[in-house]
Amino acid sequence: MKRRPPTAVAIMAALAVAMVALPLVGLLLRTPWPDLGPVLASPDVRQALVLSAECSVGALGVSVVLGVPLAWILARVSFPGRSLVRALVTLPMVLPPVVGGVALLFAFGRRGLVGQYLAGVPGFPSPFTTGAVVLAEAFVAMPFLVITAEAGLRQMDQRFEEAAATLGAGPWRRFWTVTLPLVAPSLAAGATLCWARALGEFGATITFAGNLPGRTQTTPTAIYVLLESNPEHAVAVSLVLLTVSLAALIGLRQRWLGAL
Amino acid sequence: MTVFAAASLTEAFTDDRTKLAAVNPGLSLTFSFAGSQQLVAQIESGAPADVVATADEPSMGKLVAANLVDTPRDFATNLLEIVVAPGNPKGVRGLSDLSRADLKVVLEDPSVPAGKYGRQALDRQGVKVNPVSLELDVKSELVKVETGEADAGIVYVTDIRSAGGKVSGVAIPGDQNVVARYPVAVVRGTTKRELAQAFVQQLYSGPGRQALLARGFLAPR
Amino acid sequence: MTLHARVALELGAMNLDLELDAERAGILAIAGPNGAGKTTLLRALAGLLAIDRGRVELDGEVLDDTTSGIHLEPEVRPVAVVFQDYLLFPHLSALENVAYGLRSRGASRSAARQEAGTWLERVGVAGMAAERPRGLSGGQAQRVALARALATRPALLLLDEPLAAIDVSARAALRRDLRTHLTGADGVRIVVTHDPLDAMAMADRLVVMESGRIIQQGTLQEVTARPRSRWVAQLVGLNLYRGTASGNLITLPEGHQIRVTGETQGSAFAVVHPRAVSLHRQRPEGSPRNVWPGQVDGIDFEGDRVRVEVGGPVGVVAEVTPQAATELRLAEGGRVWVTIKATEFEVYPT
Repeated sequence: MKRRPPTAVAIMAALAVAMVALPLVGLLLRTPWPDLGPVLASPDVRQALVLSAECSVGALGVSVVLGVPLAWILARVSFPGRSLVRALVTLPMVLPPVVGGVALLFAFGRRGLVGQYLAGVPGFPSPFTTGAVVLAEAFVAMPFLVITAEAGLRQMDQRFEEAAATLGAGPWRRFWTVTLPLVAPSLAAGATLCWARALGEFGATITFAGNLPGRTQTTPTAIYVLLESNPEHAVAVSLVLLTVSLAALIGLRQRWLGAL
Repeated sequence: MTVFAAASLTEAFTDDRTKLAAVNPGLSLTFSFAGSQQLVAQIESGAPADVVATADEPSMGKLVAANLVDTPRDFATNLLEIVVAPGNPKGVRGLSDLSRADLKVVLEDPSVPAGKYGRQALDRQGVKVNPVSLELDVKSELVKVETGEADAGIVYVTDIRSAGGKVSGVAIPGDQNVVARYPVAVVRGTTKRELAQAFVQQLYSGPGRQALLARGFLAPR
Repeated sequence: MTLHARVALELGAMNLDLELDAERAGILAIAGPNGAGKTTLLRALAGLLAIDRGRVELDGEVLDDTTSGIHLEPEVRPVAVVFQDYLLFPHLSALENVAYGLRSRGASRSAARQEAGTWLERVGVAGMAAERPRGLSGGQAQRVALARALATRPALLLLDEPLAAIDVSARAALRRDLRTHLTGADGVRIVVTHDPLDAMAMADRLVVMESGRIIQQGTLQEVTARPRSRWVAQLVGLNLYRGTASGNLITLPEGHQIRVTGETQGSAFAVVHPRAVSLHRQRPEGSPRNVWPGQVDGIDFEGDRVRVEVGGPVGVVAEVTPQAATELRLAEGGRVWVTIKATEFEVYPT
């Protein structure tokens, strides 16, 4: 049965599309197309783009290494306080990013809860370091991965793991050869969302890591700075993030979105 | 009536409104505080401001060039000051100390007036600073120094006054300092011209002048 | 190889308590109605379920012993399972599925794939080696699942309703094939099924379960000679009643009485063949035989016979000729009278 949507539904849907599309169209119209090349090639912008790429991937890595085991425990192990842990882990999703940044300062800053002891340790993500950018981005983006991974693990037919066990596969082998491949679509969707969120993060990053070209100035921060001095260039750089996000979502195939 | 003003004028103008309200109970005065660039962008897009006061002259210049304001006049000036933790634990004595390797220094980003002026002052003295961060607004910079993340920074005299005991200040001598001029103008499209002009006037001689001076601003030169 | 299992466990509403022995020689079928606990038992033997009390020993190796706290995880048991819906790994090809158990036990990729190929040949699906499970037919999938289990050369092979997911039309052929493959395999082989035909075709020994207990066990002949459960009665197509006998009379739980012959006393079974059941439109006159009313719950025309399910105070299945069915104008919902001669009942103690 080919569905013809009821008129009211179609109108609302069209309005929804307009609400999102119009600002983006405005962006496209204001783009200084001839200047695009030189602006994007300028050292500051290039630096910001490279840093954003590196840090967002780093944040994704952190989120995967820490988030997938957490998702596994939330999905498979019953323990007292599980709902609380789940709520806690997803809190950054609703927290205003700047608040997140301030909280990170209080925990990992020079006088922070943990930071005061670890400030000198090499590799520790102290404020003003590139590691701080990765930490801030992971803080806001990891929940997306955990949520989708947990959902995927719950939906998966655990009997496959039983079958694998009867064939002689221990817990680790079962996880790598059966569980992971079966939840791969969910993980892919979650990872894409996580990475996109990390890429666009601004409030927590600037509050916790600061702004220094080459070390902590990510693309969103660079755009904000450009907005003060050269709004047209800001638009040009925004276009890059817009294109990258769009490409990520298009790559996020239909069947992966179905896993969400 | 609506007044768009630079963020560094927040406390002074708010005090002013309190004083004015005491004398004119019926007065409805709305402020919009933001970075000077943002104010300019908003007025260019047609925001309903009656008066605009920026933290530097180039910003106002854009509005003049676009024919959006009447002739502006400086109504106050501000000076830079080095901000440090209360009691100055690291013993910062002047601009040249900011290049010390043991200090974590935050500055304003050059796209912001305070950042521009700060850099000017440092360059003139030939001081090379490696800041750990270029903050996008003064409040963020103050927070970094207040919480101990950074040891020193350059902000306005008025900002240090407003922060009270949470920070200490190290004065920058007049010959090393940069004067920040604050211009104010009536917006061309205003429907409340008389009120606007009255507001502007009282910034020079009236509750406005008192409020500005009390917060650490200096007379226009 | 032998299996000695004493298993007692409670899982939700399921209460299992039984003792089971199985030899390497011959195929053992564990049969019974759905809900009897067959699959629960199978899962316990595979180590997927923990038992509450008991001991499971396979070929001298202790798999479970609740008194000493031993419970071997499935991955270290020499037990393989063919699951009811096969559970072939969807992301692996048929070949890789079969190789999985070999790889898990340390075989190299090439060695495992080679051996897996041999097994696929043996079960007759070599051509589908590169296919993913979703590209396999029901019968092919079943054979791949069998090969996957056999490849690990288990000491105990468990099959859970291996033909349940197969099309009825394909079942007979597959049943024969399965029997052949199982016969050729080593180790203890146990098939769990609710289908009497499966049991008949594959079982050398039969264990009949009901409500978590073993009701009967023995060879097919032994078990069907004296049915002790509805399931077995169905298997042999008999009507089965259970009650208290006192010589010529058996009193059923609801109070009805059946006239029989013989001198059995106490708790007893009574069986009668459907052919010995007569149906009438009116209550027949006279002689001392069993007579009771009922309604037609179902009619099955099976060629030259008609099976009639009669419901009522004493349910019974009757087998009549098509002519008789027409004469009686049998129709679903219609009322009939049932008569059975006392001599037609076979009675034996429980």
